[in-house]
Amino acid sequence: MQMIPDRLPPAGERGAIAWLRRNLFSGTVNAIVSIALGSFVALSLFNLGRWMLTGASWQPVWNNMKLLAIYRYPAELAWRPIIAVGVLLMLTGLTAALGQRVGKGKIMTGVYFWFGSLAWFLTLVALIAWPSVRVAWLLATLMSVAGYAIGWYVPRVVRAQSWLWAAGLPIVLVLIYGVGGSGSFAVVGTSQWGGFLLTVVIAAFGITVSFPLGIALALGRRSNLPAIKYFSIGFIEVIRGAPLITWLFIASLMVPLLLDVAPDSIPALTRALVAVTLFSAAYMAENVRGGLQSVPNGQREAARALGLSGWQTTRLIVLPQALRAVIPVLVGQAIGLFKDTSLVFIVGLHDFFEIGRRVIPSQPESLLYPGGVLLEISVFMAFAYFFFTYRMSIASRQLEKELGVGER
Amino acid sequence: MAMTTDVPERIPFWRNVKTLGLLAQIIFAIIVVAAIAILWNNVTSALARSSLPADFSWLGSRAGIPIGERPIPYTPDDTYFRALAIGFLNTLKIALVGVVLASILGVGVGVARLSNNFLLRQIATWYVEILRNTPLAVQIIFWFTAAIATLPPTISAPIRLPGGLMFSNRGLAFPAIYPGFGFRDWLPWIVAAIALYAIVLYVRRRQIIASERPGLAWPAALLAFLAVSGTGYFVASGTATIPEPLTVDFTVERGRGVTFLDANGNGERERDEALYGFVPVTVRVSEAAIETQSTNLNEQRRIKPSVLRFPVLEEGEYESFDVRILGSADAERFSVHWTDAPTAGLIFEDRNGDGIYQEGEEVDADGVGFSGVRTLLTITGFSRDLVSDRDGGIRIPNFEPVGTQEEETEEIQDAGRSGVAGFGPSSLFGSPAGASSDEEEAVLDTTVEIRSSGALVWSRPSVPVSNYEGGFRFTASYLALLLALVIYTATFIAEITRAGIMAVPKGQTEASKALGLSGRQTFSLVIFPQAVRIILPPMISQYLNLTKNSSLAPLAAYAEIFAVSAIVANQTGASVPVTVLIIVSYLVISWFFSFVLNIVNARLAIVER
Amino acid sequence: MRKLLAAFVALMVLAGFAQAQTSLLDEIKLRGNMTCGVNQSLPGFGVIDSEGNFSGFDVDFCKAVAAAVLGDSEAVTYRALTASERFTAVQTGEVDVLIRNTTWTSSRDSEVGLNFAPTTFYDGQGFIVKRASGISEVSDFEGTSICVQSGTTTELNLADVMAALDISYTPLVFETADQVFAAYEADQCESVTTDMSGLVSRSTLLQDPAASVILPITISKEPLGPAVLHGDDTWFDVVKWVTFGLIFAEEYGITSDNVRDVAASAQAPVVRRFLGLDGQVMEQLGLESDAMITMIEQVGNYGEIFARNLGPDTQFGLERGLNALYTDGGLLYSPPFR
Ligand SMILES: N[C@@H](CCC(=O)N[C@@H](CS)C(=O)NCC(=O)O)C(=O)O
Repeated sequence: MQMIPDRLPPAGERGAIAWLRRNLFSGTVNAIVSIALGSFVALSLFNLGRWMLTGASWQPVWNNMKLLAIYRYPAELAWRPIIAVGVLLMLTGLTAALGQRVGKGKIMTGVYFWFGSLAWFLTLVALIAWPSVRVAWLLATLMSVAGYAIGWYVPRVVRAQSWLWAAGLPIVLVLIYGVGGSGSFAVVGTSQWGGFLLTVVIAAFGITVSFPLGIALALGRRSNLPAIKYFSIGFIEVIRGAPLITWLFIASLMVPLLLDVAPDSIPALTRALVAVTLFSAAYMAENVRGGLQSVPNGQREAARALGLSGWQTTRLIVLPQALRAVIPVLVGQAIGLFKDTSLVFIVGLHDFFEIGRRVIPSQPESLLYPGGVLLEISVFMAFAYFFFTYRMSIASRQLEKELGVGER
Repeated sequence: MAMTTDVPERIPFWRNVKTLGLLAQIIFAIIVVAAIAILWNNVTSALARSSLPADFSWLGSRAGIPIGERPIPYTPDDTYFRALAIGFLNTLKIALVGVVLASILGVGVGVARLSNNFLLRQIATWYVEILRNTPLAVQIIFWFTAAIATLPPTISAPIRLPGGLMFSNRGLAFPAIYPGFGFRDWLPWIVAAIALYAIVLYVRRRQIIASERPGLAWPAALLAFLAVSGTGYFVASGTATIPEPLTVDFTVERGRGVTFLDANGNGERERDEALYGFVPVTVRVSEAAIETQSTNLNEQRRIKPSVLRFPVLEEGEYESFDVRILGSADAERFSVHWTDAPTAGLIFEDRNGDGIYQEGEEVDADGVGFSGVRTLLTITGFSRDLVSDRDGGIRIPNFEPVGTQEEETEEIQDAGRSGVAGFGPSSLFGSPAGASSDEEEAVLDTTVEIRSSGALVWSRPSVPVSNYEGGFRFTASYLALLLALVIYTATFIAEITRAGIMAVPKGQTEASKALGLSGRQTFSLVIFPQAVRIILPPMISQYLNLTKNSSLAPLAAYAEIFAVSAIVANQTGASVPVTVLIIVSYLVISWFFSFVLNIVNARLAIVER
Repeated sequence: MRKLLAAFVALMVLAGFAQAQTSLLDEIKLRGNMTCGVNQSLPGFGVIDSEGNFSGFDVDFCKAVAAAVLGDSEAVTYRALTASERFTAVQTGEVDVLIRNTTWTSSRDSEVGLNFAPTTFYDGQGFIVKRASGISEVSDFEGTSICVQSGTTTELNLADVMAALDISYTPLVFETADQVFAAYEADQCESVTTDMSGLVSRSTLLQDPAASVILPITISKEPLGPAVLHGDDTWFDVVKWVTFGLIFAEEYGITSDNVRDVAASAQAPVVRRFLGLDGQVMEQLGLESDAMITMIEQVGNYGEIFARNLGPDTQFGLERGLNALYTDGGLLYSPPFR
């Protein structure tokens, strides 16, 4: 067989014109669609842009950045959550750089630069306009850069990496919650938490805790012990049967009754966390179950044949494969949970959404704007949420590729 | 799995998997039962100590809560049960429509994501990316705020679209067809027509098969169906008569009436006399006088003329009207100019006395318009045809007859009316309490008559006071919530559609291309039918999600089951029973969807073979 | 998960048993801080500024209680509550006292399980309408839409009055006060109905305040006051007498400016007892003897609180009306401290 030598495409099929013809104007229908859509989108974007630049009043949003970020967290302690951000970015940077050195870590690097650039941007803003948190933001930026630099230049730390993460997370918690006394590390009670801080705390807690719970429920559902199986099924189906908002509502009404405990022992945050976590666990269980089902039975049989016990089989053979298969789905669930935290206003928490929806619009200054400022605030909130979830959904897609899920 | 192990003697029970399993289960069950028992005990003892209702007996008592969105008639005098039922119906109302619209939009966007038109593909992709990654709660707030802020208010100028459609920040109203008096007589005809359709279809099919020639069976069947039902419609309409005890109880002062079955024949509605919806009614007023008060919309900075408004009338509904300024002193200085015929006008100082408004004439020396100038609008030969609403109500513009009010003071805020008798203290914050005036009853010459109607009646929306009446109406809350739900859910459906289409093997496309099918044919005849099988199951779970997400309704002031339950729980304190009711309602809905899902899965499995 | 649950349940049971019968008063003193449920959307009564600080009439009563109990008006943790959250917050003990324009009604006393301290603001439910609408009495609402907030006495009163007068109207029931007023501004409804105080508060912040008018009609009695949980008489007494103390101080002309001088020179036994110079009145309530001095010094008397937040010098410009002292034709009256 004779090979035909490579040739360039004919002149008419290259270049911008050709691209346009192929992608936008192939055929009359396509041309009409392109023109109509193009003008519609251009007009919409123009109007949106014009409104955002000239019509909208962003002053209330700008004035209330502190509320939106941390609500009533004491202003003089605002540096603590900022440093916590620094710690997290430092660790992410470290991991990203370490990964990059060995030609991996694309996902972590993406995450690091995405959120890092937000932090650097905020540092810039702080330098210009927020004198009280200037130093803290600078420090956070330094930490984030240092993390990356260390990972890059001192690859030996790779061995300490997991320890650093293990140490970093408690540090973050301590920074946010405090240790005691009345100085720089005074305890800041959860009733003072709010804004984006609270949104992130709830989402992080919900995902972390619901993960083992969900696995337990999924295994329980596949258990051959009827009591456990039917309990798991009942739990999963009932929880999934009703929307999160109703569980939050029930948590706010029923938890005090159910536990019949003394006043003051269950703060609103706890109630929200219980509802969000259990809800998320039920969905997690179903996702994990999907993964479990995807593990071929032969794996289990082979493991048993090798003499592994039932529990060992599950733990060492089935679960790892099952979880690997559902990681992208789980990231999807994390995104969902992050968005769903916007419902915790039902138990009376002041998360990011509630501050935008209720607190800012009723300030006298906001009321003076024609038509209120809810539209501006909702656009701002949408953007803020999107900034986070979009990056997560990119990560989920990258994971999907990296793990080769569905390709097998 | 064939694993044969030699079982040596007896396994001690603590190593016997079966016994251990049983033991674990017993322990687990004990823990669960104990936990439930403790929780139950806590709830009952907490309830016993408080006086919160713990049973469902309150469901039958008077609700007393106002609900604006009611698919079935409801007043605060109805029971809590009915209030909750309205919530449930409203959930269905938004879920059903939402599911249909989200499917259409979602499938469209999903297909567009695979289009070979670059722009379309990009737009579809970004639509999905952006809206899927933004919390629904934020989107609802956005749409609801935007809807209220940008749509015009009803009273001044709804957007009127051809075909009687009206659109404003109070929602959408459009003409609708409702069953009329002859509807019952028409029903047997319809049944017969359906039967005939089936028979003709069957016979034609056999004929076609016998003739061994290609042909379609349904056109003939449809023709038969139309012929019979059409004939039936005219017969039923021709013989339709007004049911004997049907009456209208109409008060002119309020411009409001109800159609009802007057069991005792006294012409007035008693509580036990049933209301009767969708009755065509003609209201005639031989001469009506509306008194209006021009009001001053001025601010110190901005200058606006004194505008006066009155209910929207339409041309052809009256023979003539004229407007007069009341009060002899004012009448000399001012004149009235009508902007629309006749919904709004302005009062201006007629400097040149020509009675016609010119630029610059309306403003007086202070730069402030004229307030408190009273006008009298007389309408001659008013007549309006209406169809009474779901709850039997009919309404015409509120003609307030002119009595002896002319001596009253002008400024509204000085009217100093006392507290509504029996409801509240007469005055607060030191505002003076005045005596309520005794108005002289001026009786308008009105006739209200029930018109006969055929099997169906055509109801057109109108704005008699400031809300839509008649026709079919969607509130702004409903529309905003629907929009948000549809747009949000469609992003997920789009992803499902795209994945479904991509999952169809490429060979299918190639094969159908090879057979000479066009691109469109390939898609609609080969690819999509196969994709539907993959798409449908996850799509149904999206339907369920949409339904559950409708519980965000309180953000848009829509009264679905969760919103109503929350209000009821708050007002009765019956948190436990309400909790049970909410969970049961949603479980019923969820189970319904899984039932549908099972059926679909079963059908798809058969097709798959 | 099972273990966790068991441990959780066991813990909760223990917690239940361990609960001794102490008053909130002791607990608050121990904590050095008091939690107060307030409004967040009602300028003049309770609102959060961009720094996260609360201010308003109701908020000042929180401060007064904190000053009397803890000697520091700033020792308050505020908890912003919506209309429908507020009772759960008291029932679960999330807040020690609820001061959030809450109407005192019999069922809130009995069914909800609250104890109301004396009324701090005598109010009534009213309506605000656009002047242009020409609405001047309740019967004019025939065929219109009325905006109202859910979870309030307001929505119930509205339904009752309209049903009794057989007026057919469309209620638009919103979740937040902002939505209510936004809808009203956009002419989605002809009127907003709520407490007169709420109307006054919000009407000054409308786009065009002059275009609206509050109808001189009240359809209900809305006595607003602080509330605490049933069953803790000691704490209830404190909140009750702190409220009376503010009124008492106004009756006797004791203000934040002159309270030290009065304390130094007071002769009248009533005043001396009140200020803790004679007798044990304050100690009997479980407070420091100079609790009232501290309180008035830090927050002022009732009249000062009113003037500061709502009075003629503020944007709300409210008259005292029923909320004047009984000597001035109002309803405020403090029983004697003895
Ligand atoms: N006094 C009434 C009504 C109190 C009330 O909630 N008023 C509304 C309307 S002014 C309010 O304060 N809303 C503020 C909010 O939405 O948080 C009650 O106790 O039920």
